[in-house]
Amino acid sequence: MSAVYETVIGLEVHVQLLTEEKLFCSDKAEFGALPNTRVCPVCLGLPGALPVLNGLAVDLALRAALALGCEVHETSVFARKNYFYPDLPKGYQITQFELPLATDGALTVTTDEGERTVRVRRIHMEEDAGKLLHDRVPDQTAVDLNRAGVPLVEIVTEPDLESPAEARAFLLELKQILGYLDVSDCNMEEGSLRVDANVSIRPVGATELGTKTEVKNLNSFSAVAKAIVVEVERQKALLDAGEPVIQQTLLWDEVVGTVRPMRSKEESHDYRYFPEPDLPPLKLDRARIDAARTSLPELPTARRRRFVEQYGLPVYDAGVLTASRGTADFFEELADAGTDAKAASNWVMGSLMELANQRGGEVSVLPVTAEDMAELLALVADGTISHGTGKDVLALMTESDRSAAEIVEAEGMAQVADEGLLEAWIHEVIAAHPDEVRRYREGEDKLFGFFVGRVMSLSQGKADPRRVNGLLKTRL
Amino acid sequence: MAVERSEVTRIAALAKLEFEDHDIERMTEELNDILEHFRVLQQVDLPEGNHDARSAAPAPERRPGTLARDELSLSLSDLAPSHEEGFFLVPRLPALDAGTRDGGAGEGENP
Amino acid sequence: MSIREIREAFNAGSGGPEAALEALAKIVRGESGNGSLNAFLCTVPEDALSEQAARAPTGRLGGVPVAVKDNLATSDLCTTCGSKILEGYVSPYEATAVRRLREAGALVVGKTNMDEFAMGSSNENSAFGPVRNPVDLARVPGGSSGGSAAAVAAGYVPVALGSDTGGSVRQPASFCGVVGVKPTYGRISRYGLVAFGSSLDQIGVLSRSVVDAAEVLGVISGHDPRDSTSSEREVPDLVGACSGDVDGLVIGVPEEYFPDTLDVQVRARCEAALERMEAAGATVRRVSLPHTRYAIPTYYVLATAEASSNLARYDGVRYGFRAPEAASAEAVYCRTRSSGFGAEVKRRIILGTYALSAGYYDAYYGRAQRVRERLACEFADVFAGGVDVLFTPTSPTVAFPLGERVADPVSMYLSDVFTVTANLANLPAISVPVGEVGGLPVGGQFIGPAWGESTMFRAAAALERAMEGSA
Repeated sequence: MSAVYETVIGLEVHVQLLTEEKLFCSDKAEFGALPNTRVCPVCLGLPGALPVLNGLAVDLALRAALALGCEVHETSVFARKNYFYPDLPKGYQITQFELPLATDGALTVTTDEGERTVRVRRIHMEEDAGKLLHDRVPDQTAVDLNRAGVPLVEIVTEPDLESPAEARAFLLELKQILGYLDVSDCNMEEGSLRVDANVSIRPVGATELGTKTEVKNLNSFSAVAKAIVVEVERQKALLDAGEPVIQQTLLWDEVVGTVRPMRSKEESHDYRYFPEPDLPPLKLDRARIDAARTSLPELPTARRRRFVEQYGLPVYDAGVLTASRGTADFFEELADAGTDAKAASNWVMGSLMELANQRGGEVSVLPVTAEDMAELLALVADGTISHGTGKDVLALMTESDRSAAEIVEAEGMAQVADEGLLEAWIHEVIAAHPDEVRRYREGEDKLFGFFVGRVMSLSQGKADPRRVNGLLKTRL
Repeated sequence: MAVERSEVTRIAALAKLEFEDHDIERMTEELNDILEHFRVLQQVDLPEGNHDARSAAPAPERRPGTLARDELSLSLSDLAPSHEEGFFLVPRLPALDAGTRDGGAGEGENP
Repeated sequence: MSIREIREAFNAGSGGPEAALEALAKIVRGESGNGSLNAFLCTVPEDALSEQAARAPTGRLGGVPVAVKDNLATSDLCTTCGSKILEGYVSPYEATAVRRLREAGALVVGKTNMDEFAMGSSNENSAFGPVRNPVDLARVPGGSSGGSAAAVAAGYVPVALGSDTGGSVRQPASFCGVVGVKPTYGRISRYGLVAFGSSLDQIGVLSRSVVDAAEVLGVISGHDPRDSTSSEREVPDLVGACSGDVDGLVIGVPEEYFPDTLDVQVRARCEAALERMEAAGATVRRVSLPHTRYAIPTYYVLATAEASSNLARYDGVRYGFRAPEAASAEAVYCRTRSSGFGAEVKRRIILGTYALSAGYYDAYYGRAQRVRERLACEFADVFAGGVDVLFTPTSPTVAFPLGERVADPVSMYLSDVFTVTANLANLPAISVPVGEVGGLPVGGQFIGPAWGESTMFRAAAALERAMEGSA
């Protein structure tokens, strides 16, 4: 008989900061360069080289900490984490240990199961390691240090998450926030967001935490959720069989869909942290922290709530529109330019997102400004063009720098409201279909749509459908 | 408390140093001898609190673009013991170690 | 010739590379055959030196030949730190201090031998053989800047750079009978100085006169944006300070530096020096620095802990020596480090790793940090109490015979007792010759308050004048 367990999850998230230069030297922090071409004496760990802190990275880390409601410490201290690995040029990683940048934050996430407030234990700054390629040269591991020294923040949560869905929701929310702040692009596939999950289970009602395992190698949001499901099942099977869970580090195998223990020895975990003597303590005075707090943009949760209240949008719309800051800004500009909010929402969530997706980006990357869009929607609203024509005009707008009005004018796409012309088309249709006219007049009402369709087709879509409706009724 | 031989072996492994058995023996003796002289540190009467981090001058912060990259005057292939196609080379790491790093340091690519 | 004489000739256009070529010739002659000091690990080729001289700007060190300790990065000469693990290594960039020397017109003639990674007090820990003391070839020159001290004492060069983590400039200066100075921590950029104990390391200068040390220190001091621990404070006129008088200067003499166990002759020379300072107008005040007794363990815990981390980068992956037989990455690390490092370096790495490792950190590293703070406060209190500068022996003994202490690391560590405190308290200190015992030089040390190099140089130059006057 299986006992009933609850799941306890904590996350350790590494986020790459969006700075042009590395954390401790002036090399470019960029991807795709030839191996070992973004390196200098500092990030190569050459004898005698010294680190100098990138102030912009500090600004970004500070923003992230404030957005997650953390207490930012006026003094934090860089420390050396000592261990040997070929991707670690100095034999130590410069990180923060005893006195991190910030502690005691929280983030509330919503899932189908309801709301959950996840406490953030700490946020600290550190440098990334290089990359190792095992397939590049036969029997050798190839070391590329272009990434060594790229700035990261590590965000550590308390074990407050209770399901894989919540873990996923937390990460999505975090990604949204950091995207809003321009702190990171949080691209898991490219490694700019990396997640380790600490997982344990305990009988429902127990107050003590069970033995946890750490699951690594999670390369996508869905991998995080899948790996936690698998690990929870593994732990349940162990406990049900009367066997203990062993505290260990596990690797998620995406292909097989299992976790397996890591081989490395425990002795390697004596990191001998001590304060980095080459860097004095990082000091952030109150004024700087307050200024950063004041300059924080409105965060996704607040904005969602406001979109519902201020624009009367459905909760669903507000969620979709606020998923990225650029899209939310676009919608808001559009709505504030006088476009009906629901219409603006429909257009952004519909045609605009579709076009953006085709280009593999967000709405904000389209060559259409909110102002351009407002002009287009005004033409739809006043009946100059139909909704359908509007979509065609929008497509053309993304292909040239012509305005909506210019396109409608040049392409002759305006709706025809001229009664004389409409009458002529209706007359022609009635004359051409005597059979259908007779059947309609004998009571076959559904044929009305047929006549509308014929007229619209004759007008090449330019006839104003409402007027066609009215005129047809009287003529038939 | 004397330091055991096994402890010296553990420390040597942490420091990636290998010693012959008799060297470990000698090193254990020397370490105990030195630590005996260091024992006096435990007797120092020290005031409470640690003001070290707070009293020091703050770390200077470099703004992007303000400190030029120190260009290398030699190519890496001239420096490196083993180098090919722009990469530093080491004998291939065991497959399972790939992808096992802490998230903070890199995640090796899986072979 | 003094720096001033060489500079005046060079800057007037009448000097050219003569002084440097002459220095090079002396080195080449002196380093070959019997009686070689083994002070240099490499020298610049003659034609390269002439070329350097032709390009050198006029400046405060115009045409001055300088020897540089081999733990300072130079892009034209080796930078081995006296270690097999960096044998043949040429740095692809240059240390800030070396760059500043060159920009002031100085000519770097060679790199000097040293204890491996600056770990030692006798220069017997070099992978490339010990340096001999030019005063007595059977004796050590002191360490770890033994090559620099010997090169200056032998008259090869008027001035040399060294590095001082616990006395590595001052103690060899004292053993070889030259001037050696280490400024306040943060005065000179450490960028390009191969790290030993990062929180203690400072570049220093060895020279034949106090004013020459001031000339060079003035050039290489000052803020460097590449070293976050280098100070933005303005560098005072140190050469000017050398001509100041010491009338009314209060010299503190800490009793802990004159223990009963101190060599009587060394004590006598130091007391005599103090009398001369009094004769010159200074006041001598006996003071106490009781935490001095904890200095050696504090220093060795902190220095070795930092060293264990600083030396982790020597792994045979990116540069330097790699053990040839290594068949796995793990073997590359272990074999390279085990055969690349010498015995003393390995001993200190083990000690430092131990002091930082889980379970021992608080008892050793953590505690040593706090004792260091106490010790610094104690010095600050003495200076705040009206003492302008402190005076002590530089070393408890004169130069000892080669081989005498190699088997006893602890006694070697204990001999640093008078010099490590200035590093622990981040203070400037200078060793000046105060006479001889049995033909071997004795050094006296002035320790100044933080950023108080001016006062320290004023006192040192006055003592130098007083010693000359009586010689």
